Amino acid sequence: MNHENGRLDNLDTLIDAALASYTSLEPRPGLEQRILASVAAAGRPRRWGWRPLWALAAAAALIAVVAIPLVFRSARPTVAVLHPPAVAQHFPQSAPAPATPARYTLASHARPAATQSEVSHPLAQSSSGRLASMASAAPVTIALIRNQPLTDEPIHVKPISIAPIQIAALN
Amino acid sequence: MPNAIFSVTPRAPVPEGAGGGARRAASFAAFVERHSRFVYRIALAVARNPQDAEDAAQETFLQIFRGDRWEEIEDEQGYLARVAWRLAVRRRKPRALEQELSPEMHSAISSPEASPEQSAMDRQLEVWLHARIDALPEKLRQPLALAALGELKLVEVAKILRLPEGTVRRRIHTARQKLRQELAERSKP
Repeated sequence: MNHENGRLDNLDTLIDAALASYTSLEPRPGLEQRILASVAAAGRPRRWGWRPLWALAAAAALIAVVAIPLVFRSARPTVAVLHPPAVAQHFPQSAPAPATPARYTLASHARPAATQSEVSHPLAQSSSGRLASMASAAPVTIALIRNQPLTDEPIHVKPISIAPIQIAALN
Repeated sequence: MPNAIFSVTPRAPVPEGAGGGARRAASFAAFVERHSRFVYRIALAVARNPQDAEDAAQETFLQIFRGDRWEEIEDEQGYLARVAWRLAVRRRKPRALEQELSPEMHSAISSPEASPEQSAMDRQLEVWLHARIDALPEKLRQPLALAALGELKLVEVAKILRLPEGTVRRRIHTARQKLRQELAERSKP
C-alpha cells in the first residue's frame, strides 16, 4: 500500500502509463491476411464512379417531363360541366317541363345529358334550389334550354302552318 | 468465387486489383501491410473491444478498396484515421464498466517484470484507471485516447474529430484533470 501511495505522488506518470497500455493492445496475428481476405471476398472495386448517378438523374428528369403534363391533364375538370344539359340534370323532378307543346320544336339529336360522374363540380344545394324556382317560373324557356342541341349542326324548324282566315264567317 | 484471388506473398491472399493487374493488387497489399496495425489501434481506442476494432479495421480497408483511390491519398495515415474513427464510433455500444475490458485487455496490461504482488497491485490500479478512462464522456475520452496513441499529432487528432485544435487541447487537459482528481481521491485513506 505504501508503495502505491508513493506512486500516487506522481499522478501524471500513472495516467501516462495507463494511457499507454490503454491504446497499445496489438491485434491478433494475421490481421493483414484477414483484411485482404475480406476485401477479396467482397469483390472488385467500383470503377463506374458517378456515372450511374448521372444516369439515374437523367431518367428521373425524363419521367418528370412525361408524367407532370399527364397528371395535370387528368386533373382538369371535364367539359360536360359547362354544358346546359349537365346543369339541367340537377333540376328537381318536382319541376318538370310543361306538357303543352312548344310552338317551336327543336331537333331531337341533342347530346345526351352528362351523368353525375361526369360532373366534376356538382351544384351547391342553394344553386339547385334557385334553378328549380327559375324552372317553375319560366317553364317554356327551361324546356328550350333542355332540348338545346350541343352540336354545331343547324337547327331544323318545322314549317309554320297558319290556317287560312275564314272570311265567310265575317260575312 | 467470381473474382480471382492471387497471392503476392505465399501467406497473404490479395484481391484482384481494379485494373486486374498484379501491380495494383500488390500495391493494395502493401497499403494494408503499412497501415493495418495503426488502423486497428485507432479503432480499438474508440470501440474498446478487440473484435469490434478488427471489424472496423476490415471495413475501413474495404471502403478504401472499393473507392479505388488508395494510390492517390496524400496523407494516408490521416485519411485512414478519419475513416477508421468514423466506423469505430458507429460500432461503439454503451456498455457497463465491468464489460468494457475484455479478458484479452485484462491480460495485456500486466507487467511481466514485476513481482507477483506488485504485478497484482499494478494491474488492479491499471484496470481501475482504464475503467475511469472508459467512464469519461466520449467528447473527452476520444481526444485523450487518440492523442495517447503516440502516432498522431494534436493537429491530426483535431482533423479526425473535426474540431479546432484548441478545443482538442482543452478537452485532453480536462480529461487528464478529471483522472488526476479521481486518482487522488482513490489514494485517500
